[in-house]
Amino acid sequence: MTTLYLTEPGTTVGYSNQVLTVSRKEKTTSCRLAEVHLVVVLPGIQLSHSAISAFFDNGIETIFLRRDGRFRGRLQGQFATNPTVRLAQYQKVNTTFGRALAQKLVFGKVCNQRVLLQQRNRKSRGRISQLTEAIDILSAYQQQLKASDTPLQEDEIMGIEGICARTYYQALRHWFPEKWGFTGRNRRPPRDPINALLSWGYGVLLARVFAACVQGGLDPYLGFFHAIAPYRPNMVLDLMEEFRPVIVDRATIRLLEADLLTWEDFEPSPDGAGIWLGQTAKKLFLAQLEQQFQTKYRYPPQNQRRLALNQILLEQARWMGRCLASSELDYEAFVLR
Amino acid sequence: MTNLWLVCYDIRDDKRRQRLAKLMEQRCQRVQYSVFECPVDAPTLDKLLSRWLKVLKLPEDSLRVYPLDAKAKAQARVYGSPPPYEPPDYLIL
Repeated sequence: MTTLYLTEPGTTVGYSNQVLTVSRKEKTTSCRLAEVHLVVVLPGIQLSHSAISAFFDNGIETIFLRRDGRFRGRLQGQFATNPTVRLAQYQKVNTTFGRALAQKLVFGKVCNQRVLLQQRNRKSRGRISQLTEAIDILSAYQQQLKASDTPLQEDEIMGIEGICARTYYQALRHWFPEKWGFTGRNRRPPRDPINALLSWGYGVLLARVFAACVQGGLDPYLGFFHAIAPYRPNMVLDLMEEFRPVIVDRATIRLLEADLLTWEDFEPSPDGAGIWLGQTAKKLFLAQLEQQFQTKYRYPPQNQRRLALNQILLEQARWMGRCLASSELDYEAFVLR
Repeated sequence: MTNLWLVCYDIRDDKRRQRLAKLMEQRCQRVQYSVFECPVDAPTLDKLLSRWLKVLKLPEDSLRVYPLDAKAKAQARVYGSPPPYEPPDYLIL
């Protein structure tokens, strides 16, 4: 199945005879609807009414992103949602059950962050002492998140997540070539190319997890770790934690290792405060991200079946839904081995 | 597993040929004037065939379908056009 990314402003998308026609200037590419399962639309693209209708009628997920990669919205037609799941979700807020879930999500994230650092550590044969230290710190907190019989308090989980994130991002600079000047995470706006890539990637991931969340019958706006802050898709943010390192951070590493980008591929954001990806950088990065989404892993909950990460996203969302509806705390984050 | 089928036809009448071609283009990749590659599984192929056959007038017209399994696909020799069709994982346009 094909993911169709529409990135070039000025593109128009038509539809006839079950085939999408994507045209820009004189150039037209066609794409059979039956082969498409997801369409990601960047700004400046015109979808014809017939194309939009076809997406609705065939249940094709269509996601819109902003220029800086943030999630703008998605087409939502008729959909089958399960009120039982939503009700269970609302009932679990501010309960021990909810806190225990939050803890599991953070645990998954920290595990995957650690795995990524360890890969670098192995490649460099443990010669970078700051990296080894960071791994040890993450391990310690991993234990703390796993061990406690009674769930930690909200602020304790938040605290651990914060420390781990800082440690992780600072250690991540040992993955990136020095010329990019990465010293740690900053955002809103990102101030260097690597942060720009990370922000953009998290935006794309958020959009995908948002779709998975709705398909899993969950309310995207009510979470457990990112509890109930208004105007923020808290459940989506919860579910994407474990996938951030696995998909986005890894895609960023791969792209920079391939050494295809230069500083010229980035441009200052309109307000001049930050840095954005240029057109080429977007395309290259999307390809890299998509390769991560398509990478297959063994998925323990389903008898070690090999699934692509984009399928695992959906399965995790469904699992979260089942876990809430059945009140059995059996959800486990997806962790790399 | 998605299978790949090689579909080709001989049709005398222009009108019928155009009708069939249009139907086939919905799900198949045209590789030559009357030769298509169809990337679907067997049940889907059956559904498609039942639609296509309604257009044909047998035995004046003929239609042939050959399965291309992974091995056949790898062994296929193609000159002057792309290798046997496979839907791309992603398309960045």
